Parts: sequence; C-alpha cells; structure tokens
Amino acid sequence: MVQAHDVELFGEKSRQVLAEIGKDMIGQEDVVEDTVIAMVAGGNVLLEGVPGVGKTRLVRSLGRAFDLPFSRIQFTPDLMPADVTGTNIIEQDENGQNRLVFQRGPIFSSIILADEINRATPKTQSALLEAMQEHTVTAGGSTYRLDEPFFVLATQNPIEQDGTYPLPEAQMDRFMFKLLVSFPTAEELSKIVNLTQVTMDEQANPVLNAKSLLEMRAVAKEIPVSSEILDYTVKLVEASHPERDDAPEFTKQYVRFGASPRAAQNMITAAKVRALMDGRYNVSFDDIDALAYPVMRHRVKPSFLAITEKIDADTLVYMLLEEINGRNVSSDPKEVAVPRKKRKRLFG
Amino acid sequence: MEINRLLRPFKNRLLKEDLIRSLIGSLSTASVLTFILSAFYHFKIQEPDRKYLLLCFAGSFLAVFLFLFFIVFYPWRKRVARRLDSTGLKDRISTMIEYRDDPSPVAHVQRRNAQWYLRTMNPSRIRLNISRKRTAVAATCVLLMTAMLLTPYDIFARINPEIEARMALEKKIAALSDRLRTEITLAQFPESVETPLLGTVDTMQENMLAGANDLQRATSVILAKQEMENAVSEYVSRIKLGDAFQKYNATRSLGVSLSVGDSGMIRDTLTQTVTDLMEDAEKVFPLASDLRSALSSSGVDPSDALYSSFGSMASYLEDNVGSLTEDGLTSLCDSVISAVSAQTEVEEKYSAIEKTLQEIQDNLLGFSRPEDPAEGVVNTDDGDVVEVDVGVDLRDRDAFVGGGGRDFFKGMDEPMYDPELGVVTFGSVYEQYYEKYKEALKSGVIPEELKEMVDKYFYWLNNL
Repeated sequence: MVQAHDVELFGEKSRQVLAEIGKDMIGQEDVVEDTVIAMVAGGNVLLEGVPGVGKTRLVRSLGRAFDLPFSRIQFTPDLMPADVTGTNIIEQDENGQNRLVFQRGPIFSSIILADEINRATPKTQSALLEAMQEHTVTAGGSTYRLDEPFFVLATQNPIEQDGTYPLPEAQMDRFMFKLLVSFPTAEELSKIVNLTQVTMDEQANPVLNAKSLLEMRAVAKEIPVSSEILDYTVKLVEASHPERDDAPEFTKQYVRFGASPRAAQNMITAAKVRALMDGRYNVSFDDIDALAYPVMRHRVKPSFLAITEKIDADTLVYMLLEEINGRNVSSDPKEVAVPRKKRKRLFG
Repeated sequence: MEINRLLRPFKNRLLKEDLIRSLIGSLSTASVLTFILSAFYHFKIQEPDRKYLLLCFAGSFLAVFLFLFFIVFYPWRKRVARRLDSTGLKDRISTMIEYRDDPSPVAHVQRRNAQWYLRTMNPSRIRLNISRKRTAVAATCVLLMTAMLLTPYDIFARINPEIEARMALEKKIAALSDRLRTEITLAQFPESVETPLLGTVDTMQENMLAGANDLQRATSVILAKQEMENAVSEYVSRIKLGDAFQKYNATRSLGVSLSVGDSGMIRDTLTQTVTDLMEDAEKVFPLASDLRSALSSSGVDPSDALYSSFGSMASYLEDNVGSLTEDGLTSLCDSVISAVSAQTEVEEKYSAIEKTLQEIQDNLLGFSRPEDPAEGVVNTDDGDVVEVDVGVDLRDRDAFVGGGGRDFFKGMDEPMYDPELGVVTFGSVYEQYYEKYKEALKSGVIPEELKEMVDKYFYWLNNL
C-alpha cells in the first residue's frame, strides 16, 4: 500500500538520482531526465546519437546510481539470438549424467545497453522483443523470468546506415521513448574534456536500489490523472492516424502510420513519473506536451511526401500538438519551428 | 465544502469578469441588431417606431446577456479550476476537483497540495480576461447604433432628389386622401353611402401611390370620382324612379318633378295629386296601378326609403279606394318628401366632396411627362384594368411602314425618323401623334370620363 510519506519522498529521491548522474554527465539534462523517467516508469529507451556523446556512460552511471547490475551487448551482424538470451548447454552432474543446463545470456541483468542495435540482424533484434515487453526469456521450451527492475537502453547511430537493419515497427513500439542525444555545446565539450582528464571512471554513488525503484514505480502508478488530460492524450494519438476520417489534413498528407495505443499508455505512465519528479502529485498538460516528442517521434512514421519535403517526425508531433491545442498551424510545415527544449503548455 | 470555501474568492473574481464580458457581448449584439433595424427604417424611408427600437435593444440585450452570463461565461467550479490552473498551478485544481472523493493516500496528498496552493494564492492573481479588441468592437457598435438613431430617417431621401420628390408626393397623396376621408366622415352620409365612399378613397390612394406618373395618378382620381358618383346615385333613387314614373300616364307629372329633384315642385305635384284624388275617386285605381308598375320597372331596391314611401302610397290607394282621407294622403306625401329631402341632402354633401376631388385633380396633380404614354394603366377597385390609350403606341412597329432605312408613320409623307440621330425625335412625331389623338377622340375609344384629362395631357405636350 502506497503511503503519503512515499509520495512526498519521491521528488527527493529522484533529485538525488539526477544529482548523482549529473556528476558523470555534462549537459544532456533532458536526455538524462527522460531516461530516468522511463526507467522509473518501467519503459525502455532508444537513444539515437552519434558516437561519443555519452550514451554508454549514461547507462553505467544509471546502473551505479540505482545500484543495479548492468550488461552491455554490442550488436553486430553476426550476433545470434542465443548470444543475447542465453542457451542450453550439456553439463555433467555429480553422478556423471549429462543434462541440459540453461546458460543465461547477458540479458539477465537489470540494465541492458543494446549498443548499435540496428547493426544486428532482425532475428537477433527480435530476441529482445519478448524480454522488453514481457520481461521473460523463452529458450529450449522453458520460460525464464527476468529480474525486476529490467530496463533496456538501446542505441543507434543515425549517420552510418550501410549494413544496418532498421528496427521493425513492432520493435520500435516496445520502446517507451526515443531520445535524441545531441552533440554537446562548446562549453559542455570543454567541461567533458576537463572531467575526463582527471578520471574516466563514473563518479555516481548509489542512492537507490532495486527495491526503492520498484516502490517509486508503484507510487507513480497511483498518481491521479484528470479526465481532460486523458482525453487530450487520446486525441493526440488519434489525430496521428491518417486513415481516420476526422484526422487533420496534414496527417493525411504527411503521416504514413500513426502512433499505437501503447503511445497513449506510455505517455500517461511517464507523465505520472514526470509530475512526481517535478514535485507535483498530479499530471498536467505540460507533462503530456513535453513527453509527446520522445513517446511519439518513433511511432509516427512520416510519409514519402513528408520525407521529400524534409518534414521529420518531430515536426509532425509539433503540428499534432498545435492541432489538438486548437491553435492554427502554418499551412507550410517547413515554416514550423520545432522547439528543441520542452514546450510550454498551449492548452487552455 | 472545504474546496468550495477555498474556491469562493476566485469564483467571485471570475463573476466580475463574467459580468463585464457578458455586458460587452450583449451590448455589441443589441447595438448591432438595433442598428440593423434602424437602418431598415432608414432604407425604407419610414419614420422608425421608437417602441420597436427600444424593444429590439432591450430584448436582445437581455437575451444575450442571460445566455452569456449563465451559459457561456458563468464560473462553474470546473471553469474556476481551469482558470486557476492556467495561472501556473499545473492542473492541480482540476485534478483535485475530479478526485475530491478519492480515498487513496496519493489523492489525499494531491488535494492537500492543491489546497495549500489555493490558500496561499491571492485572488487578484487571476487577471480579468477582458479583451480590449472586443471592448473596442462593443464601443464601435454602440457608437454606430447611436449615430444611426440620431440620423434623420429620411436622410437617403435628402441625398437623392428623386426619392425626396417621391416622398413629398406620397405625403401629398396621403394628406389629400386623409382630407377626403375627413370630409366624408364629417358629412355624416348614411352608412350605405359612406362605406363605399371611404372604400373608394382607399383604392384611389393605393392607385395614386402605385402610379408611375401624373397621368396615371390623375386617372386614379377620375376613376375614384366615377366610383363615388355611382355609389351616390345608387342611394339617390329619385332619378331612376322619376324616369320610370314618366312612362306611365297617372304618374308622369310626378316623374317629371322627381327627375328635376326640386322639393317645392315635388310638393306641389303631390298636393295636386291629393286634390285630384279627393275630387275624383275614379283616378285612384289607375294611379295605384301605375305606381305599382312604375315601381316594379324602376329597378330600385325595394328597401329604398323613397321606393317604400311610394309603395305605401300605392297600398293605401288600393285598400281605401272609396274611403280616402286627406290626412292619410298628406301623411304619405310627407313621407315621400322626407325621403326625397334625405336624398337631396346626400347629393348636396357629395357635391362638396366632388369639389375636393376636382381640386385634387386640377390643382394638386400637375402633369409631368409620363415615361411611356402607352403605359397609362390603372387598377380599379374591382380589379379591372383601364388602359389610357390615346390610339397609338410609339413602340408598336406595326404602326410604321419601313423602306430604304427610313421609317414612316402610316399616312405620312415625311420621315419621322432622324437618320442622323438614329432615334425618333419628339418634334417630328408630335403632330402625327396629335392627329391620332383627335381621331381617337372622335371614334370614342377614349372613355368619356378620361377625355378631359387626355386633353390636358396633349395641351401639356404641346407646350413642351
């Protein structure tokens, strides 16, 4: 049973975690915050960014701050599913009898870094599917439950596309967030260089553990969400579907596939955590607006026309927010300036 | 209860906003509607009815105000919560209201947190959302309405001389018609005369208003005069009876005096008749018989007073052939004279009305050039159409014979068509037109009652 005291402590705990991770991460505050939100909410994160911007360091730091076991899987074209999930091997017991024993793969950890996930074949990528959604692994006819909390943080490089296997839609949908890790600013880069001259090791200290993370997750689930905000979220997702008769004109023109119902679920779940981290005990429209980008950008698939007109998923999400907020959107989507930072709530 | 108590100061503030916004909205709407109604009167060049304008303004103001105040802007609890949230409370209040009965610890903490914000918040932090643009629009609407109300209703007539002339004419027609009505009412005609006379005045006024030119309006007056004469002659039965009486020997002298209409003469004739009857009883039956025949052949309504008097006389003679008394006969004669006097009185009164009609026709309706003489058409009270046709229509191509690009009027040697101008000149056609009028006058195609008016028309044409 969640107690009032737990609710009030949530903000304090999350601030501690962010402070510890902040020791290792220079800049990228939004990415760090969103990653922590996803982790507490029980979702997985797909990080997209060029090499060397601190993706692996972020995962390591998270593992330290939450005091959780961490595994890294480097995805390559020759990586087999068994290399990820584990396999049955023949082993002799004390009586000399041969028997099959399941040898756990690297996925049996709490925090998994699936590095360059798009370099593995679809077969290997799909090995992650069950683990990400069900938190179980099935091998040799047996199903093994993964330890909670379980969190997959996958990375992909947006530049090198040769020899890569783009993630299928079904797998993309398993990620709660897709976060864009931008290149640090000159000031941030300077600080990073200075920090790493002293030591390359992560400095974050453990402030939470698996149990307290699960408690935080349980608290977050209890946060009330007003019906207006639920309606707003549902409308946002519905508006992204070009096949709907009442879809906005730009959706019909520029969207190939809309966001799945899981997008609405993820947005509300993450919004509850975000609200608590902000010291609030209720979800606000701001939370939905801010989380619409990481939740929807990998679920809204731009059409060919949108690609030719250089309209990306973020622009489409921005237009959807404007549409649902009842504001006029420029008829030329190229004129729409998508804010990099979180947007202010426009509704009301 | 606690939530309501905390929300009350904010609700009171929003009520102020509701009041102001509703006032602005209702003022704008009421002003626009009143402006439109007033403009309608202005375009119709009709003096606006202040009562309707006031009703329009007050009614629309009240209806819109109530709608805006209680339905559109009223600060219900959810609206108050939303406004409070918009001040930076991040949907705390909306959530608190929605989960006010939730017993979970998290909802409890949420409510406590939201209530803390409410207690520490000053109601003035809610800025009254009163749009300057809408206020300006309302002020403009009120100004426009006031300007429209203060503008003379006949401003368009003043600007356009044609409309002004038309209005003046309509006023004149209305005044003349009213004058006629007043005269008819004051004359105290019998009801059987007054009703058709007043009806004729109404028809005349309608026809004059519908008339496109003076010719048509004059025709309306002439027709009205004819209608009135018919109505009066319908009442004055002595002429019809006089004509009928003259056809029979015993009643001939009586018929002559009735036709003349002189009361003294009628009295003398009746006295002589009484004397003759008293002296010679053999004259009684023939007189009674001729009276019956003359009355039945006169075509006069038996309910007519004079007809009844003569009828009574015939009955008395038939019933008392051998026992006539002078008193009895004198009494019957008095009743006849009385009926004749009543009719004479009506005729005299009508002659005053006729003078007024003549005055209208002669002095008040000056001739102006009609747009098309062939269009002299007037609708009568019965729905009949009287065409004022002077015998030729300039638009009628059959009236012309063409040849070599020059048009001639039938019977003309000279062309009436000016090839230089390409149009028929008035001067070239007038003489032929006048000749045709003369022929028409002789042939009788022009109704008798319109002859004078058509004559005036040609006189006027000649003076152009």
